[in-house]
Amino acid sequence: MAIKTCVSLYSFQEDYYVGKRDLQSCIEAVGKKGIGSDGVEVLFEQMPLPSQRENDRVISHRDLVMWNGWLSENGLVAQSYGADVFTTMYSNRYLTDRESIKITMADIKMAAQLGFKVYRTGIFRKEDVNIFTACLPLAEELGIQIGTEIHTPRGIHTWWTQDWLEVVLRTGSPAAGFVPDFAIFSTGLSMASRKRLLRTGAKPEVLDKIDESMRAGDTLKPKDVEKLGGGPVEIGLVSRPKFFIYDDPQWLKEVLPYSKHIHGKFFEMTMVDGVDIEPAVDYENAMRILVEQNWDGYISSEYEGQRDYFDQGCDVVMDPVDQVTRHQKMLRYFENKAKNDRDQ
Amino acid sequence: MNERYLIGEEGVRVFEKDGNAAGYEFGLRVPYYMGVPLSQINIFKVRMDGKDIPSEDIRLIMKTGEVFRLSEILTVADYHWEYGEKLRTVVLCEDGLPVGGHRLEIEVGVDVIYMPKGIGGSKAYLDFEV
Repeated sequence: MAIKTCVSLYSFQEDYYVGKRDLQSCIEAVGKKGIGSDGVEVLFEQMPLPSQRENDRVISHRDLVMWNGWLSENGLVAQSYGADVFTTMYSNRYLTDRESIKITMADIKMAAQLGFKVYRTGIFRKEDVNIFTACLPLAEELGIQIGTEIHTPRGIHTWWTQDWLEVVLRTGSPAAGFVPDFAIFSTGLSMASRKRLLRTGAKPEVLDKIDESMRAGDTLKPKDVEKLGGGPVEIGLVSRPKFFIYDDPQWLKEVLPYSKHIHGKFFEMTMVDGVDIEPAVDYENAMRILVEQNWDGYISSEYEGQRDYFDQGCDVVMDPVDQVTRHQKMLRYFENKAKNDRDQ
Repeated sequence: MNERYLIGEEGVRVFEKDGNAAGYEFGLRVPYYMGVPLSQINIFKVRMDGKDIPSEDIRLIMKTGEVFRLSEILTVADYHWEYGEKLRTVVLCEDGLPVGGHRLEIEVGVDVIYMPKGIGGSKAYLDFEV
């Protein structure tokens, strides 16, 4: 039983988007020649293999040999397949459930073909519960788990999680599970958000006060922000806690038995009191639960703060390898801290 | 989304057909974090120097050489606008652009499940000289 590390190639999205890296180069950055992670998570709709498009979600023998070669050369396990939710692929309608089931099944087969253990997807509409339930026998046969992401604002105690939990418990299927994303433990502003807000004219002292009240769990109203001296940019932050929720880390215990994979979402590693952390997410208490529960699985570093520098005119380019390396160190730091506390 | 990278670094160039100037073109990256079939695009607007370009004057040229009009893309589910691909976007105009400074503005959007309908697309602009 151990907590293993993984990296989502989503972390390298900027490099891929502007043509600095291809899929192979991203994998090399994650494996033993680079960051030295145990596993890899890929969104193939972001970084497709050639045959995925040519053959409509069937990987060619040539691509499969290439893919397996990359994994073994880099000492990586194919851990999580980050799937798309296809229901809006035609902008004038939703796919019907039958259409969604067909395309999801083809996608699950592709994920299994590539050797992934977890098919990370998400529930957005009530229909999605039925769609994934219909795919469970196939996933079970292929030995892959359909993990629906518990992603802010769709927290643990919301129907998005509870309806699927009902399916998990009713079917008892090993193919039904979750991928908790740690941004459900959001505390305050990330450094990346803060810098973006400052570029759009926010006052630093007002941001400090807003951040402080978010961390204290206060509900701010536009009037409160005005009293603090904030203008329209700062007032826009009052709705932030609705989108970046704080679930009690104890609730993780309710879904951990059905979770093999976790998204270690983070925005920007930041030095606070001599420790390199993600100040926007309560990693300390979340990691403590994983240690207490003796959880066995992979945590995937999912760096997202680069997106805060995508505004027009901004010329800052972050280094995702540096960010992910520091994030993985932080995971081990909090894991060891929790173990020391437990063993004392 | 992705505003600073939406318009390709090559900027606006002359579009030639059969060796003659037939308009101008630029590359456009997808306003999302994944590739999408063209059928998923719900907003595609181009403005030049403050004037909306009529959608019938716009053509999209795929890496495969296939050409689509905006009125056709709803049924194009087999071609993916890949993440990072600079989709060739052509504006047909026989007279081309006059010498001087210009501003290209674009607004593009794709339909995704977790975004509310009708929130608009991603916008970007480019100032350039001819």
